[in-house]
Amino acid sequence: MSVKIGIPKTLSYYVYYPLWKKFFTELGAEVVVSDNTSRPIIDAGVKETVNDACVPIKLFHGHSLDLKDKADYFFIPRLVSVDGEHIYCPKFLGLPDMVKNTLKDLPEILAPRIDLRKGKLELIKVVYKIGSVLTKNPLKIYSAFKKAKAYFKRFNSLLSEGHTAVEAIDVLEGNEERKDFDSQEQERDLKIAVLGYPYIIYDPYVSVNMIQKLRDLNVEVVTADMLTDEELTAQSHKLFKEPFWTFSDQVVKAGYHYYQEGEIDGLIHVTAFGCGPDFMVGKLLNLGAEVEDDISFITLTIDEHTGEAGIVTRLEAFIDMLRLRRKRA
Amino acid sequence: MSITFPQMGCLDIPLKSLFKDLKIDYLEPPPLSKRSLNLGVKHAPEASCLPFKLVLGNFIEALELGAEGILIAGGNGPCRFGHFGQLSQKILLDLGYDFETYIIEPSLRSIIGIIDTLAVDFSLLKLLKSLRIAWLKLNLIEDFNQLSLQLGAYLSSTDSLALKDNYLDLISSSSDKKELMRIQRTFRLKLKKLATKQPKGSLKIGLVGDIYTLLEPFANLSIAKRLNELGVEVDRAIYLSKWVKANLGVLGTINKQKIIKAAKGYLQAEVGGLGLETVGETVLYSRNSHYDGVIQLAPLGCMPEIVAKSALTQVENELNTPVLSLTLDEHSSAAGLQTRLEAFIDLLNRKSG
Ligand code: SF4
Repeated sequence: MSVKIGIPKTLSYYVYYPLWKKFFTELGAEVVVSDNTSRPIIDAGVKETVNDACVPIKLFHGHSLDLKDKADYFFIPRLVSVDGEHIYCPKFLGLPDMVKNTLKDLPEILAPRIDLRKGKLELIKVVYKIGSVLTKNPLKIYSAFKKAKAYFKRFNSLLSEGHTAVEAIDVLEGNEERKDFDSQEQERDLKIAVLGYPYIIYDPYVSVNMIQKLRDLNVEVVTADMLTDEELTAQSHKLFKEPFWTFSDQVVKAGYHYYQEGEIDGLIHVTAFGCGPDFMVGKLLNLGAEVEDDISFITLTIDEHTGEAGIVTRLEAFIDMLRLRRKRA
Repeated sequence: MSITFPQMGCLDIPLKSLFKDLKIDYLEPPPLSKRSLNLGVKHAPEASCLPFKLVLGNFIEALELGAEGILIAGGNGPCRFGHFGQLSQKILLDLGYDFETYIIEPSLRSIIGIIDTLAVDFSLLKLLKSLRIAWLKLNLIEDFNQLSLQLGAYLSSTDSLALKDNYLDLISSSSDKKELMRIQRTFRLKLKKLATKQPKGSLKIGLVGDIYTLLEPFANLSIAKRLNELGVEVDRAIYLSKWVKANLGVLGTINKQKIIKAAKGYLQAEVGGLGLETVGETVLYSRNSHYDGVIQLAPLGCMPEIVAKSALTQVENELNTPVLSLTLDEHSSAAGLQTRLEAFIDLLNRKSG
């Protein structure tokens, strides 16, 4: 029987799952994930986690509980820096410890530290370290990682076309057709940027399926993942100091980009209650919107209690407002 | 151009010493007050931590008084403090203030660059000399603080406060190394002589947590003084001078290694801010039989301290030393804090008695 490696379905799942999944399966392991986010998963997480933690971290604890009897190992990499420059928020840095300290009877946790500030060589070392749980053959590990990287590239190009992470994973795994967003563009009369961390905007339960709802309302949705690194970097000069948190930097710059040339009607910042970095991200996006007369800004905060209804109502009201404004103009 | 800085504990004394020696024009912000807090709460994003609200409010007060530049430390994160400067700048500009922003990043180039722009006539030699004196002052102040927290349980707080004010005045006004050292010696003796009260329960508590909250009595509702008045000997794990040494100096790294090792079973990485120190120091206090309990101080929402808190429950269970985690925000009240402290002390007394 093959070794089962468990990956909780939140946080970096929405960014790196295809990479790790391919890598581990190439090395002969089976990758198992927790169920889709649901009320019971949230409640279980809320009950266990330190109470001041943000919603996504509580959710991660809930997913870990869901997964705990289904896997031989948990894979919770300690993400510190993946581009050698930005770092992750403190809770990502301490994630494996938090989970270990809080939850009992977990399978063994594989928590390699991924900190590429130390240089490119570090990547090779980390990959070997992770792979060596399954095989000691470096060639096998190397070739598995090469395949995983190619697969991961396809994932990212699907995101850049406008697929959500869930849709992109479905396409890669052959469960869904690739969407053709260009052909639908003409019919849509509004364009909205949905910005927030991947595990918030792409998790259908957490985001109350916001992206699909907007599409159903005939809105063209754009995200941070649809921009190139060059487009993001071009916004750097507007910041006195670039945000050092990986996702926050991306979100702020994407916001600035869309304000400047995205021809958007509105920008929705989706944030989680208790998120530290967003104290600044939200304010910067809000201040950025103030100078743009024809772009409206709204923050939607996800917390552990708000039901779907409240957020959907606000979302629909926002769209109505944009349409009304458009008619008047 | 007169620049200002945010108040934080006794940091203003070494800073002013540096500014004076380098002939940098500065405007001292008012001490933190209810007004600073209210201004901060009004203009900062709701989700910001207490330290940011205080820093922002204090900047506003200084700008109202005519400051033309703001100066603050930066950092590479991941604690939010590293972005206080940038966010303050954006908010203050939006409020219509006109000023320059200087963020000191942890590199020699950044420090020298900023001082070079601000100082009237700048030379490296002068900078070094002034830095040395400012550093000495910081150390002398914190050394005295440490002793008064330890002896605080055995002396009246009015006496020790008067003595401390006197001490701080003298340290501020001298810039001669020998004289500074002499002042320190005299005042340490004076303080020891004052400590004549009979110990009540002589409990000993270690304080850990976020550095801003630990250093600034306004933010922590003078927790150390309260504990002293309740007859408790206090040891603060974190001092700015100690932290600088641990993170820059050679000698300090030994201390840091000790902390990393102590934290190992509970937290295996730096998580920004003082997260790792909080866990490591709590373990060290718990292993030390002289200490009866530990108190963690954290602003509400402080990320490194949240990570640390998740480990502290485990430390408490395994090492059997009570840990009280206190989260502070603009709604925290002195009365509420007092009640929690008294309850904690009762618990410790019952446990040790
Ligand atoms: S970035 Fe925000 S939401 Fe994400 S883990 Fe950190 S604090 Fe939580």
